[in-house]
Amino acid sequence: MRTIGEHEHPHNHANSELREQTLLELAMRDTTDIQETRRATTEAAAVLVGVQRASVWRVEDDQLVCEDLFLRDEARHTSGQLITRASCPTYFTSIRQSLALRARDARTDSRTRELLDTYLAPLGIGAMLDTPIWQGGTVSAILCCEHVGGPRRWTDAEERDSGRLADLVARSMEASTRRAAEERWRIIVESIPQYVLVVDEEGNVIQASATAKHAIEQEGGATLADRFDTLELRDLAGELLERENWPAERARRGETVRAEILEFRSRVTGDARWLRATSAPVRVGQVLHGAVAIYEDIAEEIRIERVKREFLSALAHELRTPTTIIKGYAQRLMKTRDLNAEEKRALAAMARASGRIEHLGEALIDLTAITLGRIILAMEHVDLADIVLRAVEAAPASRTHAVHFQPSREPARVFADPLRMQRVIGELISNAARYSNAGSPIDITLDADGGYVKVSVRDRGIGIGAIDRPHVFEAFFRGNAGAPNDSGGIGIGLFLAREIVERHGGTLSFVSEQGSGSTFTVTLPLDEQKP
Amino acid sequence: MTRLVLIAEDDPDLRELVALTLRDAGMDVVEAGDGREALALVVERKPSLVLLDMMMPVMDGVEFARAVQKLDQPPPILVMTAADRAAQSAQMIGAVGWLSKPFDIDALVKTVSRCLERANQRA
Repeated sequence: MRTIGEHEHPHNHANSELREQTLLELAMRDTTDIQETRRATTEAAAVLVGVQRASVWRVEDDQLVCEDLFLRDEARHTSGQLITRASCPTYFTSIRQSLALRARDARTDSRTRELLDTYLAPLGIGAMLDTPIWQGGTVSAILCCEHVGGPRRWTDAEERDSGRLADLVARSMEASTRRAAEERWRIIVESIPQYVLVVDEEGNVIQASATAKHAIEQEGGATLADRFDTLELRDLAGELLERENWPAERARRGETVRAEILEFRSRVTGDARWLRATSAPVRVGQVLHGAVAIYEDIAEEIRIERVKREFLSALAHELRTPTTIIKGYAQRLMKTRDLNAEEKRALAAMARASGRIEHLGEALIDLTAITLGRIILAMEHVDLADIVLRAVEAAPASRTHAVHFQPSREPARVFADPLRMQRVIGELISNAARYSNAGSPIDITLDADGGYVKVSVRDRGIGIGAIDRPHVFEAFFRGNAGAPNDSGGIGIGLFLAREIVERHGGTLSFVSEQGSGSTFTVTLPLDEQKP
Repeated sequence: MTRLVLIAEDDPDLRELVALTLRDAGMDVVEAGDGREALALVVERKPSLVLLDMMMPVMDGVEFARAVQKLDQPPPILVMTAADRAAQSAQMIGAVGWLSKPFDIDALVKTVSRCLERANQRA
């Protein structure tokens, strides 16, 4: 077989002017569209290298897949052909190992002759110039220039051009992979059902989920900054948050914000919703590059919580009628004559038990009213001494302990809800009794001084340990459950007492020493109004 | 002095307790289980005082009070309620007083007697 020289071949290697022009055009193209790049590359390869067939094949583990084949004589593209690894193991290994596989006579070349029967002979291919396309350190594809006819000697210039084209495809593949990854990431962020905002180091929103975009766009301002101006975030206490304290802003300064509950309000749409906010700084190495913030709508959780509280409230109210009945019949029966001692004890126990149910029910009503934000105090101008006296008289502890009340020399006028304040004092007395021995003293003092009125309830009981002290006013906390006179309870007495005192503009505090007792003090503002 | 008290309360056990207690205290009592029954008894028996539960089937306390106000000589109403803000409901329907459940029977007798006295003074 005769080798065709450069000058004799009809598809000569292109002259230098055409080469420059073709390469320049390729270089100026936008290479992010990989499919377009492949087509342009195979066409350029056919022209520059001067072959009838130029193609790009994707290299997979066990096969080659033709991604684009340009047939120069027919001026058309095709794709999809497969060559399996099993049919040509040597060729497969060779293309991965060479910088360029130059097969002058492909039908006899040890690296390519495996392809003879299935590929070279049927297609009339005599010579091949295969250039690997490298991506991330591996050969991900090859650029094949195939000469139809007999053997052909490939020149260095042709190999160089083929190499340049392979580089171009490699760059395009990288760009398109990167773009696909960015696009995928954009779509992922957009699809997240929560409100997601990604901000840059200056706090500008650079990415957002569709839900967040929608919420922000509804604000209708001309710029994003305008739109944020009509949004408000408040904390659980209802305090308006300054922009610099919004979760994403805090995260932008390096703080991680974990699951904080905030209320979001739009001054434009009037929309208000509860959100759980989580935000973290975006760091590249040690450098802060902005932040990502996720806001989750927790309307459903809030609704369920509300339903639970409404249920508790309804339950507590429903207790009122049966309690009235039990208490009332017990009281009536106690008035009948001829009761024996056992019957009297039984009726007294019933009265006490119904009193406890009543007490729990009323505490539950106050608790739910406080947590539902609907406690209403029935304020009156009263003397606190009268209230304390009534509380002392009603306290069961007056029968078990040495309760002593020392009123103030000055009048102790306060503006207060008398029933609730009596319950507060009663709670302090029963708390004192619960944690001290029967018969031990409980001293109550009342002082009016310096614009304030103070009621102190002091016991000589077991006191409160250092570990328990911070939790004394927590709802459902019960220190020393099972103490000497512990009559049970659900641990909301002191929590409620403090809530009620604070709603009167006062404070409830305590001092305690383990082993020597506790003193709880209610401080209320002195009523300015003269009686 | 007339001492006829109409008890409008849907809970039969509570109604009986209240009725027994008021009878023991020397009052006359008629009972109704809902607002409509109570309204008929007001017309028929002309009680001196209505002891009114606010939450009743068929016709509740508010509707009952509205209907009673249209009568020639509406009897005074004393509200009995398990709801919060008893004072407000009492004021809203123009009642002369209120008893918050759970009340004890001594307080019941005391409050009802006082209301009856005032009603008789006015009459």
